[in-house]
Amino acid sequence: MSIDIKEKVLNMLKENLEVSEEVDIDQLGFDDDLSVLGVNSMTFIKLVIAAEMEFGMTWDDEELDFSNFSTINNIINYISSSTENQTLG
Amino acid sequence: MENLSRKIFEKVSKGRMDKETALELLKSIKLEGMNEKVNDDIAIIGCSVQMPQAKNLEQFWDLITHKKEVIKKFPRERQKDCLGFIKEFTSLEKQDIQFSHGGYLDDVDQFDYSFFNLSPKEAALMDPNQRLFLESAWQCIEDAGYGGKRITGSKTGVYLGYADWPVYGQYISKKQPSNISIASAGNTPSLIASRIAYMLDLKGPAFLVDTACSSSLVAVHLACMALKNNECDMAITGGVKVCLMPLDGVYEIGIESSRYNTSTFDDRADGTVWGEGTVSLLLKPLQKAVKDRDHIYAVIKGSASNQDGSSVGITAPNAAAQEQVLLEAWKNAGIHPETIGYIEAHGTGTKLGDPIEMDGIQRAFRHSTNKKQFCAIGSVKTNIGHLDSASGIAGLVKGIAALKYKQLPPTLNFDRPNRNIAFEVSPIYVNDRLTEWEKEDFPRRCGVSSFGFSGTNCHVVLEEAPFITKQNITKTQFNEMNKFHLLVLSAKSQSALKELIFKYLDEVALSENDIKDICYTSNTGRAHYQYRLALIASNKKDLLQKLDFLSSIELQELQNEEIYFGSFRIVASQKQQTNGDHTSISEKRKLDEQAVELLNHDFQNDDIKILRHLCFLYVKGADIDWSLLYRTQQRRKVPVPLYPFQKKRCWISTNILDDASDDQRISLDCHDHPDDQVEIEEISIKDIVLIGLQDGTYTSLQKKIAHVWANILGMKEININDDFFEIGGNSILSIKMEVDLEKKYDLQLTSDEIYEYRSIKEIASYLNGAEISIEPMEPFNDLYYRSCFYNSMFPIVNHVGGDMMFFLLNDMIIYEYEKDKRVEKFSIQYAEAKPLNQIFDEVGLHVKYRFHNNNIVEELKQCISDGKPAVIWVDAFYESIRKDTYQKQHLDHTILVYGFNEKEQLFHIIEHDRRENLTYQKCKIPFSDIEEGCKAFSEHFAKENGITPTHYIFERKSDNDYTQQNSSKKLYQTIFLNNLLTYKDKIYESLEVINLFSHSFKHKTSSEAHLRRNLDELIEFLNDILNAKQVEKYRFTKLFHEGSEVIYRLEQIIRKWDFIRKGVVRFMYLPVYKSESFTLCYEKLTELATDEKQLFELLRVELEQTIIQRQMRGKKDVY
Repeated sequence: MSIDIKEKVLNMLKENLEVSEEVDIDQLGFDDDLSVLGVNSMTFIKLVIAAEMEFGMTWDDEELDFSNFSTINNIINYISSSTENQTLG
Repeated sequence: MENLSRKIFEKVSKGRMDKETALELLKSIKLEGMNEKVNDDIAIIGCSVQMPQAKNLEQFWDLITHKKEVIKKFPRERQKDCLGFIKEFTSLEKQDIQFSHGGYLDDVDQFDYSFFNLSPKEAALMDPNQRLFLESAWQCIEDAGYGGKRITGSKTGVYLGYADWPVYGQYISKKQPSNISIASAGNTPSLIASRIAYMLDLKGPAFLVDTACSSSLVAVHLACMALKNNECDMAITGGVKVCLMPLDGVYEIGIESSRYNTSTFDDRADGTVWGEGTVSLLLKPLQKAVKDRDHIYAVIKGSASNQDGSSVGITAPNAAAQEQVLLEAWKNAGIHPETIGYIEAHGTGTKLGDPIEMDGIQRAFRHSTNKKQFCAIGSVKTNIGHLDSASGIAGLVKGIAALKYKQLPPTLNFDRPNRNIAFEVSPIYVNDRLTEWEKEDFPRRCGVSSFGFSGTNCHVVLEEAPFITKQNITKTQFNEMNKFHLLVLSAKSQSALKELIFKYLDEVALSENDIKDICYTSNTGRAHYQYRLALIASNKKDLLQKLDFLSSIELQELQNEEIYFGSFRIVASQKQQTNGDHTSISEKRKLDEQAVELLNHDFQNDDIKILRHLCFLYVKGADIDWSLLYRTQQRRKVPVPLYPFQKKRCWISTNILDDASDDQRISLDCHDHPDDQVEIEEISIKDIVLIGLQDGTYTSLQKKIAHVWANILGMKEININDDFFEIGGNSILSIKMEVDLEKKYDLQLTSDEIYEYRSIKEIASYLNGAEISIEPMEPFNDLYYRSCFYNSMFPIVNHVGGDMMFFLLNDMIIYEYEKDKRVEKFSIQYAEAKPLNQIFDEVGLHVKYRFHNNNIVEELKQCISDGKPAVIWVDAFYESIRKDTYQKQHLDHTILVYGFNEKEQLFHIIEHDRRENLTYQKCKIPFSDIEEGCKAFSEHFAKENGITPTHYIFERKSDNDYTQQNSSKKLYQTIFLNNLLTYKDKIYESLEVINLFSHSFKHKTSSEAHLRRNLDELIEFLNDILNAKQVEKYRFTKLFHEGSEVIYRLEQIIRKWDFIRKGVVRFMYLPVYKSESFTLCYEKLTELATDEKQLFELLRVELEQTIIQRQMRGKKDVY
């Protein structure tokens, strides 16, 4: 499950960000700051929407926080926890 | 002489002269010797003595006349310094070590390495013999009044008697092989003589003489021969002896006394004790010395040296050879032996040696006189022991002192004559008390003997200095009774200068010399260092008063028309910060030129204004040829105080006390370590203290070079402007630097290049390829403010220590609404309270607006070299480091340029790599990109050439023009409230715009079609709002305390704006129209209209209250 999420998240990042040739997302550490990829408040919303569509979940707008997208691990954790909640709920 | 005698005989025989007169004449001719001989007499014009309990000739004479014997047990403090050698070179166990008695110096580990441009490490690895003689030779030159550059480049020879086994160097080779390269020069015996030649660029021969005990006297003899043969114009001669393993029963040669004293010519004599000391003399042909008005201690009339040949044993003395050497010396001196009043004997104090020496002397005298007991004899060995290779010159110095003070010195330990010497029938008597040396019809003369264990004997004949009549001098000086006396003193450190002041105070008070000569010798006969003092006195009393005053104050506090103090440091160019005591080469050149002009002026020594000006220039760092001050005068050199060396401990030490095994820890001692036991270990890069830059920020390259230097030189604190060769570097160490730079850091620098780039700063910039960078310059990423211009400029504001809050507080954020022909436009505006230029002024920046960029590359290089960063407008289309615009999109944009690299043709800039990434970074960009980008900006974006600024050059205002306000919350609050109140109406108006926007929003989001049409416009405005809100938040954190109500409310507001923006942006990325989500956004918007108004009121009340409270508190304080 988690491997699956990881791959999906990476693909999501690749598709939604205009990443320069010099930065290879696959080389990026899971705890590296994503601002090097140019993630800002605007692209952040883009990523949220992409995640919602990919994982069939909905983010509560009130809960949205940019810090949930500061590293790949953060994104994965957030998605894992919300999908689990959904299954349980 | 023969010619003259023949004439006398002829006159007598012809009866034209009576026999009595003739006899008298003949006798005096005989005693006076040949007049033409005077031509090659040698003058002793400088003298330095380092003996136990005697630091100069005067103290040495004092020791002799007071019949002091300096023999003692080897000093405790020195014992541990020798244990390593003993363990290494003898088979003694610790408990069997018996240190012997002798005439030991208190210390041989103290040395002023920085004075001699040596590193602490090299100094510690240098043989103490070399260190001691170097100091001694230096002092002897100064003593003669030839310090500084006076003998630089001259044909001066160095003749040093030295005969020792290189214990120190051998120990290093065995125990510290890694240090051999650094230690090699300091432990090669021949360099003991040549180091002073190297330091002063002396061109005469320099070598060691080794004939065992007679070495130093033979060296004197050879120096005299060389002067007579014109091999050199002056000669330094001397001897040095240090005992590193003074042990009873080891390395003894069989002449050691069991009673620890030397009792020359006494019946109890059973040998000698060893001693230590250093002597240097400066020699020069007498005629030349008289002409140059040198201070003459004594004159060497003649000398001779010979060999025992096949004597009884190779080391046994030979009376016939000794007799011969005396006869040859007398002949060489052209004197009659009856004119000799004193003989300083070799006098080893052995039962066998003393009678042989006396036999030789007696036999020599008997060739020409039968007179009895007219010549006194003694030996300095009875006072200080046997100085081995330096013993001959120790005796010579005693002879010089006797002639100078005109007294016959007493010899010690003489109770009953040696039974094998018949003094009563000999020409000799042993002088065991101090007596006046009465003058006869001829000058006082004395002979000095030194005989070698090697069989080489030497004898030197001394005569008192010629009497130079004051008459001659006063005549020539009749017209130069100047009223003012200028004296300059200088040293390499402030502490040394202070010590020098004390020395002058003491010595000038006692000196009988003319104040004019004292000043003349001080000014012209000493080197001029960077800590300088200049004063003007009207007479000796005035001079002493001024010195006394100086001794009691801090030199920095000096403010006086007749006393000047200054210290300076010469730096290569203006580019290096010229602050405080830095004088650039060009500045110094100007000072020098001014001095030359003053001195070339028709100069009167009475002109106090010129003297003051000279003093001023001197302490600023001017090189002044003081001899020009005396060109119309006939001044004499007189002894004046010598440089006060600031000595520090320099020793390789060994620690075998704790550990008997072979892995003894060997340590390098430097002064900084009170416990004296510091292991040789790499100085870590962390421990290095770099100095020399005002802001204290050093590049990693500079630190790396410093790391290599630190380990080569053994020093932890390094100034990045220091010349490698002035702080102890030399050719061997430069090779080591080359190797270490490559080994440690893979930096390529040939040792040839080291001669060209001598400081860390220069090397670093050379290795960087002529890179100049204004540092520190850090990107500012706390906030994205208004436009790229502000963000490019903020690092400069920080660089000059300015506060960018002044910019942030100056702008009121306004919502604006415009309606033009039914087209609505919402925007964010920043209303400036004060013009931008005024804010630049407040943060200490001077900004030059430039309107043309046609020569941008050269202009930028120039301003960066001058320490001025620039912000330039470019078209980002040509910026190869931009991901979003390069060759894709034309965009007017600013860049901060703060450095460049000529070799790589790159500018150092601060820039972000695309619009989305607002993180600014330091990067490098080709010159060509900037050139094209600027050109394109002018073509595409500048409204009209020559009216739109193309770039801005920033310069720090000088401290005089600008006093920075102390930034504080209080100040921020006051400024902000003022601006808030000034713009009150406009802000109210602006808050109403939110209502307008919410209506507009409702309309624009009412259907999918509406939304699609207005989407871009909405997102742009919402983005602008959120950026503005971030600015607001940043300001609030600087205005209010954390957790305050104002900040909390603002955060709420930001969250609501963000919610609205998300709603809109979501549609952009996922165009599924949900009307309910926009209704929710609209609700938030109506809330926001109220929230923002409330926040503004709250903000105003809070600020007013804090300020009123503050004023009340202020008033209370007043009451």
